[in-house]
Amino acid sequence: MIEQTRRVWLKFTCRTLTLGYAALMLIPGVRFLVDPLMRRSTQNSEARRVARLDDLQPNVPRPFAIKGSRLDAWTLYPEETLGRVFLVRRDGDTVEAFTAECPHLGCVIEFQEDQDRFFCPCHRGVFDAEGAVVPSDQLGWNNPLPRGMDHLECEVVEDDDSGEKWVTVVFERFQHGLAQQVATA
Amino acid sequence: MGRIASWLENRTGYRELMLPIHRRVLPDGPCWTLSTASCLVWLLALQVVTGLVLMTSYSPSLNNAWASVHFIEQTPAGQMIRGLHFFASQAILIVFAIHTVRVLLVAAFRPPRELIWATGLVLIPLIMVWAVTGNPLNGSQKGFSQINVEGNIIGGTPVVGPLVQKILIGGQQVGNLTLTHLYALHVGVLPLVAGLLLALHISQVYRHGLASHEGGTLSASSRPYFPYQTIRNLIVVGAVFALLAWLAYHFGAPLDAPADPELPQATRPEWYFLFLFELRGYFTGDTEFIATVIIPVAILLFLLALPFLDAMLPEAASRWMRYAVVFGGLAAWSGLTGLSMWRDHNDPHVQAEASAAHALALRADELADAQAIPPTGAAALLQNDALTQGPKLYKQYCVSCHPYTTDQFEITGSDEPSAPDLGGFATRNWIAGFLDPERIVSAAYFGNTEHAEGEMASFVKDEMDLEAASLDAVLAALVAEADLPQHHADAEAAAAGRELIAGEAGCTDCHKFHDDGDIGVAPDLTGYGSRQWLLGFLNNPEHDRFYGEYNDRMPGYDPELPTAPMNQQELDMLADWLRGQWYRPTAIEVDDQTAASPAEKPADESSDEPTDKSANSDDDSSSKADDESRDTSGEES
Repeated sequence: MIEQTRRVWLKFTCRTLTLGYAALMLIPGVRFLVDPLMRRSTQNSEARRVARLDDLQPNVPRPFAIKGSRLDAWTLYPEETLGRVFLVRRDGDTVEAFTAECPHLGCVIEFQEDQDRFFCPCHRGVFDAEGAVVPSDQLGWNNPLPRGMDHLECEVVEDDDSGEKWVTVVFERFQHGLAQQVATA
Repeated sequence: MGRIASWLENRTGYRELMLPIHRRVLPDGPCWTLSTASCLVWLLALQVVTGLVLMTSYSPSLNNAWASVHFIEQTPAGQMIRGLHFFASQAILIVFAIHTVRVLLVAAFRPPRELIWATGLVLIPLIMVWAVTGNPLNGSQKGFSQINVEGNIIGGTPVVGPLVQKILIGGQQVGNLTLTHLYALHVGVLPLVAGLLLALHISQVYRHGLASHEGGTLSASSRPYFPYQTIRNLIVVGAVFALLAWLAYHFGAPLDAPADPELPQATRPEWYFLFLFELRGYFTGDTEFIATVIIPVAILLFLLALPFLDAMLPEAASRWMRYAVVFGGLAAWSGLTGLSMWRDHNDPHVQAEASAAHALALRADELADAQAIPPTGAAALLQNDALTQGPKLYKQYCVSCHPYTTDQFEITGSDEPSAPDLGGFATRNWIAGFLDPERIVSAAYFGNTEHAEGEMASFVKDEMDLEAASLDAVLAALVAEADLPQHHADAEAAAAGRELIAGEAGCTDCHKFHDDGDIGVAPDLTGYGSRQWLLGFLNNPEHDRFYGEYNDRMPGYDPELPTAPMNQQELDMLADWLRGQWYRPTAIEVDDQTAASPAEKPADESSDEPTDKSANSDDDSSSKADDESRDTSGEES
């Protein structure tokens, strides 16, 4: 009888220990794998000079590459294309900046001069020349865009030495699929 | 719960599958030494789990391997996982050895268990190869030189050797393909082959049951395996896991400096292969493959044949043979391993290389912690580091004339020193030596140069007449000019010193100093010892700004010259190193003003002065120590 109880207790202990060891083996692995969730975003909110104001024609969007250093896990790339922006010169020397990253699923938006519109080729997203969503009016086609093109902080500054006017842009990324423009965490 | 279980049972019959485990019997009752089998399975499971996790962040390429491993070490739980993987691989080898010894001692390989013995035996070299393919994956210098040597050992085997070597290495040299090949073997081929062998091994164990002393009949002490043996297994496994976790937590897996052929390497195999390393030493040239291939293969074949030899021998002879194999084998293995370790322990060259490699590993780690890895790979960390490259460049180009003595470095050339000792260049103590009538003509300064008879020496000996406080001010001014990263001068004293240099002290009679004096007669003291000054001097000491026509033998190192031995980057690193300008994890400043207290001004007394020791922080007592060495040399001459 005592032997019987002992055996039951031993079996229970064996099963518990087996499960316990298995869990212990997995815990560090899980902590390791979820690390990207724990990392804070490393968005660099510095204003970068992107173009001379004189290089922009009124109301004609022009694409520019944003260059900067990028830390990719363990490698630091000193000078890389971080993303693309469209700069549009408006009346009175103000400039509007859009990121070329589509708010739908992150493809690269093109500007179609012949139709005077922005177009995302991945899922046929159509924006007007002001970056707003074009309402769907075609049968069998829904404009997939959740919001208009994302605005970037943009300023016209004067160079201290040359007196030239430059356009600076604060490059940021935004979450996809939302109706509002929210920076990625 | 019960309903789900019976639903599953009806469809899968899993209870029937589990039956062998539940029915398993211990013929002689539970026993602690039987735990090795279970322990090995658990350790292999641990390797699979930790290995898969490591795979998620590891990158097998020349530029990325070391960097990704360093990244893993920085990630939370990364050090633990990599440490577990590292120590468990060695634990597997040890436990496997114990497992085999037990089988030999109780003759558990006898019919019908020959296949259990054979599959188990083949697993041993397989697991060793498994470990060997894992070590170079971290992209470290040690791992690369190990696989390089191992490749050449394979290449030394007649006929097939060179072919296998070339395929394994992926060409002539260890590189990207070596890593991808080893990686494919380590995480794909070997786990698959070992897994199949293990499955065969275990299925045979279950088929034939555990060997019994009684020869098959159940003794009175027989018990079911589960839970009586299982609980013992789990206790042993728990102890082994706890030990591994402790090792991983406290030591972690080592990470040598990133692979770079320039780094020193006294390559040694891991401890479990040292016996072959030692054995190899008794064979030379063409016969080396006897030690590295023939003997290991012969031992393996002999052991494989053991069940059949055993069957031919009478019981007494068999026992004698088995004990001879176990104790002879252990004695030979530990004898060779111990001998090899003893040799290395008593070889100062090997010890020096090992500690140099250790220092480089720490430095690479420090640099990688501070800055991210450049796209060209982690080797660039040390290649662009003034602290690492400075002494090498100095040995190559400077030390044939200039010795270098601080307490951190002692670089001496084969020739007699014939130019100033540059240890502590432009620090207060170093400049003080120049303004000391005895030391300026000692071997540590101008003693062995034309300048020993020159204007500066005679000026310091005969004409210079400065009070202690004025001398301190002059020194402070010059320290301020040098602007060494770890030495700073008192601003007030420096300002006073600047006025003295341009006036009373008489320096500007020969030297230019900012707006006073002229160049062309003696080196410009403006920015003396600064990076810009030093680089200019190294470029061309015969420039009017420096020694001009009075240059003794100092060559110019202008990298623009067609014969330039150093490029600009090397020159920069040399200058930075001479000025003590390199990355430090925590900057410690030496206040040169405290060292300038009049009490210790006569240099000969300074070494015994207790206040002077406390004034110098531990990190940079270098200037002090080199001062002392200079003093003694001064006294001798």
